[in-house]
Amino acid sequence: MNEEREKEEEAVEKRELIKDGKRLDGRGFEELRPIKIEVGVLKRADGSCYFELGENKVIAAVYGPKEMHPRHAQDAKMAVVKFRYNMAPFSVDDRKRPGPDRRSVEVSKVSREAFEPVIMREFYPKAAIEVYVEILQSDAGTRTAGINAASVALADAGIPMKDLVSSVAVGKIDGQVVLDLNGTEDNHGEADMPIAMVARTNTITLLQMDGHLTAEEFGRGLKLAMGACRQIYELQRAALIERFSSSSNSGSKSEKRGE
Amino acid sequence: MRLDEFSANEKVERNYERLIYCCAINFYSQMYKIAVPGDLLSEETGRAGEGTYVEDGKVYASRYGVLNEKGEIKVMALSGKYVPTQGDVVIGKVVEISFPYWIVDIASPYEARLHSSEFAGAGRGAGSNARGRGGREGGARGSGTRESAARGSGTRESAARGSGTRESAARGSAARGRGAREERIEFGDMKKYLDLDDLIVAKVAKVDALMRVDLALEEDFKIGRGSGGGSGGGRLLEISHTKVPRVIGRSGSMVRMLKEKCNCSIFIAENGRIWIKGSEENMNLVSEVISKIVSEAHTAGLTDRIADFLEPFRGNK
Repeated sequence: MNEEREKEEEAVEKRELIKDGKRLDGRGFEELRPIKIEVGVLKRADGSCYFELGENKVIAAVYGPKEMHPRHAQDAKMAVVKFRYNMAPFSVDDRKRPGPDRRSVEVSKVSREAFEPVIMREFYPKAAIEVYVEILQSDAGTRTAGINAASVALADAGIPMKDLVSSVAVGKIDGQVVLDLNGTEDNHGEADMPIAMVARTNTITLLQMDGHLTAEEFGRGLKLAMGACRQIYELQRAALIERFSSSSNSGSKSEKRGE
Repeated sequence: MRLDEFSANEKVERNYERLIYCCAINFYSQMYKIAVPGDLLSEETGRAGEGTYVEDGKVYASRYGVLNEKGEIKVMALSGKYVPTQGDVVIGKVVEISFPYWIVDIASPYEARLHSSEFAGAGRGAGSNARGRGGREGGARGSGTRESAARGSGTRESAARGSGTRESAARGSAARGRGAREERIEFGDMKKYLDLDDLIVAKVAKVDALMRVDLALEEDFKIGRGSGGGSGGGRLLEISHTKVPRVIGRSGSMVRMLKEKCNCSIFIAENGRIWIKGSEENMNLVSEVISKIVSEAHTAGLTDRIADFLEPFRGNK
């Protein structure tokens, strides 16, 4: 592990994030980090999802629709979505000071807005839908991982939605447009652009950019992200479907009990 | 899926294989087909039903649940909160007394209210006032009450008999209306009629655009206190309202079987609350079976499997 890190630091010093057409972690330019999705991991929440994107580990919980407090913040026509993105103190190398900060308030806001077009909020006037995203371990791209997790958790909670939202980041390292930056690439790269969209219709619900891209690079990055969101969407969908395919063995359990 | 266009990593491919595998399972085994929000279901917009929405002349799923394509295309959600609609019969719990209303929790994002005049008339019918209720709590009518509540759930299962109950309920509330004018519940007296934590059976009389919910008492409305049932015995079970149809079964087959085999009276309310009453042992069996139904609600042939499960308990008295 230490050796790996030293190697990485060396490469960064030499300004070599790309070597022999491969990235530091061995990925190609248009390759996602490994993804793992688990649905319904929390018993007490109405819907939940555990999501891994490379070294990112994220858990999302959804509560509601429930009564909205404070009352004055109710919307008489539709449900209010509350979204809290929170990083655990142990999610980064140096302990993060717990509690909301400028960054997490911003991420919460843009993530909430990424969902508002798909959630059918008018079904639950005056109510609140609460989404909690906890970052357990972070390695760049946590907001995209959080959105992917929240999307599955919302479906799991039985909230009516027009579609699932999928999210991924694209960026630029060593002058190359690449997909899904990891921590080192994010820190030393030239640009990072998280995107959330409805994969089926290519409707973009979140787009931010940090750094510089030319118009041409932007277009290429966007196209890359669209393809990747499609892949992530298929994984989200597969995870949801699998949840109700694997529990068929409970039938055998009942046989034992009957005897 | 256009996997070939992108150099997907192993994990992605593995998961994709799993997706195909899942579809195969759905096709071959006793599984229902699961729909996920955004799934394209059909192009016949006329068949769009519950849990779907129409966009650009196509029907898409709006919920995550079991797909039913017989006739109307519906997605039956497996989770989600209960939203009251007029005419639903629910089991509520008194959470607040705020003259002249009882505030009732109905396992929903929206609290319901029950006006004090609802009670005055019903009290008259059963023996006038608080004293009459005291007698009932003493168990004088215990078993009789339960019997008719059980019948109540039976009626809801079949539409024909259901309309009968509704008529009698209408008559009941007319009588209550007269009662209200004759005797008014005073400010401090409300908890003599219904106190906090009391469980009631009520019909949703009205839901307005602001989701204010008004309740009307059903006959034999009072069923107990807290989840333990208080002095009268009986037990309250809570499940997701989305699984109520499975517990009732096709035209009531499941609940009928449960009542016979477990020798319990079972009352299923539309908000996912179930009131059961019988011997301790039988109630344990019912709760076990119901939790089994809930955990297997997405599978086909459920009634048969539950029948097999209950087979050894035949003649349980």
